[in-house]
Amino acid sequence: MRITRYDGGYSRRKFLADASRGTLATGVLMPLSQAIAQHGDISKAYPDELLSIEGYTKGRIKTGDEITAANVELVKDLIEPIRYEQILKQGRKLRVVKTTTDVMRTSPWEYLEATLRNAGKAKFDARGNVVNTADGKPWIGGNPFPDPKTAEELFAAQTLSWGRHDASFYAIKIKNVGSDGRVGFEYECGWSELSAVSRVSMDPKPYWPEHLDKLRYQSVFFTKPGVYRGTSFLNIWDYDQSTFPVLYGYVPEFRRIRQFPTNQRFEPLVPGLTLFLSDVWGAGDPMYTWGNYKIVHRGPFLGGVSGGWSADHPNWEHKTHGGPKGLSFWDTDVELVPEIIVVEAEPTKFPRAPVSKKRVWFDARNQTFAGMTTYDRNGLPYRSFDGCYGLYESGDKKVMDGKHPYWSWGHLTCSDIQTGSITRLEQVKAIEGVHLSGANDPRMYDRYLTQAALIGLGSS
Amino acid sequence: MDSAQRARRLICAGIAMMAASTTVRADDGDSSGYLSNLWGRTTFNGLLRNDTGFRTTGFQNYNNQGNAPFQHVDVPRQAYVPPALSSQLLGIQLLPQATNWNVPIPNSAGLIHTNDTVRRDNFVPGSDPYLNYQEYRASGEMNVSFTDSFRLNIQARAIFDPGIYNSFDAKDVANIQGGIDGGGGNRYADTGKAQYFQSLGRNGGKLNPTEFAGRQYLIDFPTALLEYKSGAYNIRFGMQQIAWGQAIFFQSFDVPDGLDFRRHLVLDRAIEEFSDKRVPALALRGTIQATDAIIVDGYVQKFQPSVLPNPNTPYNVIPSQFYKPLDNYFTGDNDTRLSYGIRMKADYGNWGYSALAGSRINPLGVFSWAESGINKGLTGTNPDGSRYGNLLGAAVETAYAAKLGPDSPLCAGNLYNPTTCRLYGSLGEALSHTPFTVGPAGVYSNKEYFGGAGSVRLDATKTVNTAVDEFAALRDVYASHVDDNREASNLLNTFFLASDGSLRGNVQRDYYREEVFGLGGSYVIETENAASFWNQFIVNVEAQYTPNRRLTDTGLSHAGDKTDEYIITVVGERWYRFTPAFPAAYLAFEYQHRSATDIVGLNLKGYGANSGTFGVSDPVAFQGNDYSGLRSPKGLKDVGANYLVFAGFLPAPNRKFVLEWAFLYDVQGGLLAQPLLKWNPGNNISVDVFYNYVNGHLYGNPTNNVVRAISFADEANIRIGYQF
Repeated sequence: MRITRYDGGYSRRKFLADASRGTLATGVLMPLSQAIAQHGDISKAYPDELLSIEGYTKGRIKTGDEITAANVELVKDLIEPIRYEQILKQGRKLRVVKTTTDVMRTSPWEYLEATLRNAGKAKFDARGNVVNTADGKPWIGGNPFPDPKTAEELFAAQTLSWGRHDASFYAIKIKNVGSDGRVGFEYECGWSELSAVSRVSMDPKPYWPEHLDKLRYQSVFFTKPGVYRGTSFLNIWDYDQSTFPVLYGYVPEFRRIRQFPTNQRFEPLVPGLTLFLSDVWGAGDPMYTWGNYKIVHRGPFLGGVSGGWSADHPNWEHKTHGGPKGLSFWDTDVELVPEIIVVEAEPTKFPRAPVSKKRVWFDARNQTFAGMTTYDRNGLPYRSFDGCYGLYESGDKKVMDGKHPYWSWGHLTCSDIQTGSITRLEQVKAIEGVHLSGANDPRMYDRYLTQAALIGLGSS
Repeated sequence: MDSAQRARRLICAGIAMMAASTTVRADDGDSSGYLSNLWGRTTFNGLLRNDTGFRTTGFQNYNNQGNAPFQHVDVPRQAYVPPALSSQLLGIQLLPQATNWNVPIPNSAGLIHTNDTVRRDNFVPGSDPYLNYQEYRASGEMNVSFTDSFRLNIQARAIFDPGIYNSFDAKDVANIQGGIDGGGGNRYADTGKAQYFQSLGRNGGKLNPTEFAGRQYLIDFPTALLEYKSGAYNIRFGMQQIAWGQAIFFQSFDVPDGLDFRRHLVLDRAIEEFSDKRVPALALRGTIQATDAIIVDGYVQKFQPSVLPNPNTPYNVIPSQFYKPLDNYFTGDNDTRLSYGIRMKADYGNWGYSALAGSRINPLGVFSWAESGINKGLTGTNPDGSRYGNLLGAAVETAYAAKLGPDSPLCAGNLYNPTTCRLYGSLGEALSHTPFTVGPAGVYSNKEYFGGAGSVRLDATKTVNTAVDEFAALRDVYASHVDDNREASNLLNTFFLASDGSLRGNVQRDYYREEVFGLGGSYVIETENAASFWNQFIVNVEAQYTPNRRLTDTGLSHAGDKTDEYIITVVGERWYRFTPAFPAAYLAFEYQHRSATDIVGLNLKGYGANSGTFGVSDPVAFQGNDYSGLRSPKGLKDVGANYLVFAGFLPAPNRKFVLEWAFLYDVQGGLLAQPLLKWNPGNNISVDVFYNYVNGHLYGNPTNNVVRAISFADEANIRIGYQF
């Protein structure tokens, strides 16, 4: 039995005290990294009030309950203002599930292993890139800063590995819902990302020697609607985080691969979407094209950290609710995240960008991206992003990633606050029956991540 | 179990398996049947589209009958005594050369028709349609992925043109000069109503064997291919389109395919470039990602020629006074020839390099005079039983018949002379072996001939001499070499008068192989100042060199005109954000220099001659036999052709609206400007509204710029599409 030694305000005082000292030390009762290293579990780092919704709300909301307009006031401090407004006025609902304390369930297994194995080995070099302290070469895998002390360390880890697999392919369905609640635009696309360094699962590890100067290869291609079928873009990221990626694109009108300028990162790739390249994983741009990183908030949070997989649908498709037509929001599980770290950054290398800053929510347990809000040039909230991760196991159903269940995101909601438009994305099992979600398949490179691959993805 | 212990055990287990890569794919455990799987791997999509183009000025296509130059202008004509019957009797120059084609035949009190004033609209009806373009389209795509590596992709396109342009119908002039006759090949596009889509060879075979076309409909397959992918290798076999190069609009590297100019010529939404224009061909294409940085792409394909619009269709580019060129695609065995090429592209960060080498059959081909094959004399009977022809024509026929026949020993070998000998049984038969056919809606006067020749970049006088030189039958009917525009005019008017109306020209198209080489490079500029206009500005240079390229000769010689050509294209492009309120605009700046041909492949030597009515609008009494306005082309070989393009688009924040623009500027005084607003309202609907501003006479001689050829096409367009 766990003894409640701390009153309800203890955690808040701890976070405020850290903030006043300008320090970041995750964990309340003990350093979080220490708790994870010793126990593989976060429970000993936080008091009860941060480990269950019952504890936080003193029993007024229980695990399994829904957050609705009727009770959202009780958790107003746990969600971003945008989600609060959507719950209060647009019928959005969140189902609360148990807080995950086993850290091995919060990211891909191999990534977490490497994080533990390589703890303390990372540093920034003179250009601000993360390197292995021992030899100054690119990072060797896992989270380089599992015990983050600065906003830069959080962002460096996020930028280094988006999906936390060495290679990922996401089959994605997208729907854009207008302020009238109707679905105006529907797309299907494939998104692929493959790390050239910091590899923990795919041989060769930790580097792909021929590509040591690269961070990742990433592509996106559309299969629906027909007019956009074959539209694809390939980004090749330099390891240096001050360098823009190289961008190649296959546009059906041109019927060939062309190189495109790469600083177009604040525009929807196709009509109707409220998602930009810059938004991806909260860190869609090279790290130092943004600046003035700073931690602006710490505290508990209601985040979609588990339950993101729709196991009951043969194609993993999710259900919706809310809005004028019941189509505006994903059915979403959230859990009480004991500690969230909110980092603010400004687009210093993007003159005339439509955003003045972004705030990104990081889960202190594993530093995953848990949400984001961008602000327009007048400092007003512009767009909000929230999603849901999870292990792909549910009862006796599971999708395996080697010896362990697959971990990934399940769905994402991008809300344009100023227009009321909402873009919903979900990771599905497959698009067109041949492009299947998955991870760590070396064939992804030839299939999705070369110029020849883009030609093949084009219709003709 | 204690969570720490559990974590450690899990970590140990994980480390034990780290020796092997792990892979996950979402199809684990799927055991459905093959056919149901195949159905799940089959996709369909379709598009319905309406395209409408409204004419916004009084100009119409002057290559078509109702609006041909001089359609409404009186032009005087005078017949002259042919040298074969005067100064060059028996083939010997007896009188000074200056007398050749300079001895007028007096008008014998109107009995023999040797001079007159002619006006086309006395013979050829006009037209005044409101619409330049109306087309309904349905297209679809089916993709069947048999395996991850092997797929079938078929795209089909069906188009219907309601033909509401009040186009010329040859049957309307059936009882003038015996009507427009067929013969000498398939004249499907000349002897009836306008054929909007059919494209046939001289023998009647379809140029594109996989298309099905009628007068108003076209069904074809832009793509029908099997693709096999394995690792870095990609092989495609079947009907396909291949596009190469970084430059858009300018085809310096984009050499594999010909272009289909039917439908809306080059006046569709500019940013689509040639996606709807490239002629699909049966090809084997292989692509290899040789290294991370190098891609190699090669193809072998059955040669398919470019397709030109038919006479009297809205965007026809060849004067309809000529028959549709007889296409020797089949009769010249071109349908079995192969084009092939290879391209290498290497990208090293901000630098890129490319090279190509190809051996192709030039898809535009070479145009030259052709025997008409139409046996028709200067006089005869119309379908309604009335007679056509005048006394001058009858006199010429009589004179011809009076000559010694082809079997006469007095005309054998070197004894032949056009004064006393004839090669054929009748003048009609002789004409069938020349490029000229008696018929209505042809060329009525020397001025019309010069204007028409100049507009298609030909040298009018040279064409006359080429015809005389290459066709003995033409010399046999009293034509002879001319020394200047005046003599050419007098010869032409003599023949037109003798025909009692007009003559129609016959040309043919042949195809020749050429070796094409290209080199290119690109560089992405990066500046310290992120706000600099030049930051992330991509500069790309592509150069093409083609030795011994065979072009259409400005005199329509059958051999064409061989010349070495180089083409240099410079492209600059970037995204630029004008304001935080709007997404970045895509801006593309391009420059192209061509040493021997214009942007559509016509010979620059033919530039600078007459066009349209070249200012001839005086009452006929003041025109007289004025030859001063007639111009031979000076050509642009010294300066080449030089074009500038500024194109781009600016999306609205949600991309539901996109403003697009494209400007093509010919430095010799031509401008094609296309502003376009694209609206994506959602629900699978898209609407494009755009305007084509075409001005081929900004300054200078209109025939010195390429835009003049389509400067009738000022039009407002709307395109509405629904995809499903």
